[in-house]
Amino acid sequence: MTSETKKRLIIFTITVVVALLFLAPNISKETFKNGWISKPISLGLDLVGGVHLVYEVQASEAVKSRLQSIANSIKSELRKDKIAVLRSKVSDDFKLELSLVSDRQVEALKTKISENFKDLQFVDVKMDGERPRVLYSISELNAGKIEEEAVNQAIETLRNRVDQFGVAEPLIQRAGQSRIILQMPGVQDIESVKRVVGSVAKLEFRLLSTGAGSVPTLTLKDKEGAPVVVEDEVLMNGDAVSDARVQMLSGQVEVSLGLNSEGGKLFRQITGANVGRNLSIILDGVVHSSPRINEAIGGGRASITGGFTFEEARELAVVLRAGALPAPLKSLEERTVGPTLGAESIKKGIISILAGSIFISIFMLVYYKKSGAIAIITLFLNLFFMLALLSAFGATLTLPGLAGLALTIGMAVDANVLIFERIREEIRAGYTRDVAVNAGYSNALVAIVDANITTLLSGMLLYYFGTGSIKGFAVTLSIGVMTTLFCAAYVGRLLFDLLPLKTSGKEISI
Amino acid sequence: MTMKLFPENTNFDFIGKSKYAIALSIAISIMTVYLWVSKGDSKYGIDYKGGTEIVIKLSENTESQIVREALEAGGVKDATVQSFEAGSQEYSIKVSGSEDTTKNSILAALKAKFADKVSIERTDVVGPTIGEELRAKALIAIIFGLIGIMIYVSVRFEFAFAVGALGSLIHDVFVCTGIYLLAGREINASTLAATLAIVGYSVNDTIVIFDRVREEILKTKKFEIVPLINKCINITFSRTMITGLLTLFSALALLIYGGGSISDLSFYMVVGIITGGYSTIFIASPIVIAFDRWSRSREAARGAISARS
Repeated sequence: MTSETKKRLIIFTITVVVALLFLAPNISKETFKNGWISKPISLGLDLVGGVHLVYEVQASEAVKSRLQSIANSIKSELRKDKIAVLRSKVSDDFKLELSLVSDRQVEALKTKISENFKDLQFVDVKMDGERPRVLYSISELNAGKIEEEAVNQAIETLRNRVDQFGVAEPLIQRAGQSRIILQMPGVQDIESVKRVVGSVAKLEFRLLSTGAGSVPTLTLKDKEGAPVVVEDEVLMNGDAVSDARVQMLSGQVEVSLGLNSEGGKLFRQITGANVGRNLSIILDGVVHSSPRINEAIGGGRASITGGFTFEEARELAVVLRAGALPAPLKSLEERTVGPTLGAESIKKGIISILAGSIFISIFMLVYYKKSGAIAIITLFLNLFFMLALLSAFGATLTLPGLAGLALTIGMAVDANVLIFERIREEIRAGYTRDVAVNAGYSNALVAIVDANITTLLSGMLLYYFGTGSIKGFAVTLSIGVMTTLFCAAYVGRLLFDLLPLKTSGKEISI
Repeated sequence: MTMKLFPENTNFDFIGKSKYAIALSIAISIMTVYLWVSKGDSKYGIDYKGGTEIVIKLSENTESQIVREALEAGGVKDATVQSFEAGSQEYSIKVSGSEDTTKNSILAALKAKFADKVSIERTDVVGPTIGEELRAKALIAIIFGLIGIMIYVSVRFEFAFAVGALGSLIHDVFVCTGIYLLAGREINASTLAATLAIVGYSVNDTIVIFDRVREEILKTKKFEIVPLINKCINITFSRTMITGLLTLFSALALLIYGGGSISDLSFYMVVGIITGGYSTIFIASPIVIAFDRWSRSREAARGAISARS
């Protein structure tokens, strides 16, 4: 054995050992868990079944609702100074419009805002007859910050809600500016997921309008769609809620809310100040109930009733516990894969890989004889190294990924064919075995590297531009290029050195 | 005895025959353009245009016509019902439009007709905005792929080779897409994956020949480009055919055993591996030769001009 061969053998052995270490968690999940150098290869949603959703956070809504809540604070501040804001309106281009009774109040409003609400920029005053409309806007920078915050908060809220769902290993991932990808393996009921995950759950407490006085009002609908007139001012919102549970009370399902300490105080104050009035409980703009306030309510609990089914109440409790979304979500994409389809796909993928490998093995053995056997050994080693690298990278194996494995086997053998054809040529040219093998390898290697790098380039582009399970194809294709190069250039060469491959009377069996 | 599928020391005139091949390729490319334009949006799968797709499995024998009627009875119009996989009771139902109601009314119609004999294997609802974005991304990915490979080839070889590689790759994309559309398949995310894989794969063969040409040029010093390239195609012919055949085995195995979910991907790969081999021989090299002649004549012309001035 030459020193060159020895060196190769040592490197090869080390590689195999490292690959085995990477693969270990796939063999025994229990023994090699947290802290091990690699994780078991995870299977994509298309192989295990589950739910895949892509949402867009309508972040501009968060900016608008922030402006609306600033408007509410301005109103209550001004009320202290006995200045009434008749109307506040938020437009789609993030402008806040405040209507006052007389133009003498404009200066007071402007001072108030420049003192307390620095995010707002004065735009203009317009007159509607006697009544001035003061326009403010929010800077693009601030709007951008609010949007960014909204997306982050939406992800946080989704995570909380999904946790409530009790799914093993859900995936929640931000995609681009304002999208969220949500994957829940093993879940089938996508409608239930969408209700729990996708509802905004904006909870508001407002007084039911008595119809008297000049208090600004708002017309909402109840669950049956009948109009309900409530006061404009939001007395309390979902921030006050710390806990939500389903309760059965005299045959009726209700969601009982635990309030945090601040919320409890606020609730006692609100109920105390409005004895005799009706308090409307509004969820996502729908009035659920408007119970009469009989006395100041302490103890930090409130409840929502309103003809729920038990399932509805349970889902509502989940979303209230997890908190409201800062902005509505729009569903862009939703996919479900049934568990049987996934299992079938794995089976079919493996059969394809095996069928391809067997075809190729038979061909190589018949066509290149003992050298063909070397190709077959490298082929299976290639598969082994690919799986090890998938584990090492913590990659996810998808159905297109399995297809990538199958195709890599076909492409990997290309390297062997190149080398073998080259060796045959050298032998025809009259060279001896060792010279022919050396020349075959060194001449073919350049072409092999060139040819594989282009595939790697394609694979990387596909990884970057591809979506969903298609990324898995890019992963196996790219990993396949690396292992193919190693196997062809290194392992095949080593096997040629170790195995004499002599046939009777001939120099080499190829 | 060494086994051979293809005779050694052949001297077949590939370059001379390439004009027939080029004529055939142009004809197929015209067909591709025709199919692409005439099919309009209907050539796209729901990934690329938005819509609803549901794959079902029935436990009783039925036909796609019956599934279609069941859907119509349930108020679902314009649904495309196709057998998802030959020899199985799996059907794919596609409706454009991605409202929630579309999916739910399909499911309701199926339940009404087949009750518990139907199982829902997969549902996909894709909004129209995502579809358009993905299409744009796919186009960018393919263009980047082509440019990237062209840059790589021109760095490793001469620019004329890069032009040849690019020409043969564009040819492959055109021809494969045409045959793919002719087979009635839809353009979707798998098509992008397959296209990029073919672009990466097809250039392999081409590079192997170019590599050989480079080697021969270094060896011989004085040469005629046409016979030299022809000789290199002949030398590498056996290898081109064998590796094409072996990769084809893998892709065929996928097409036969891989199931409906990846049949688009495997179909495109099968076609692409065949056209990849073909374009290496008949398209890439003639382009290199033509480009070489063109740039020589331009240099000569420039030489003449500078001589005159």
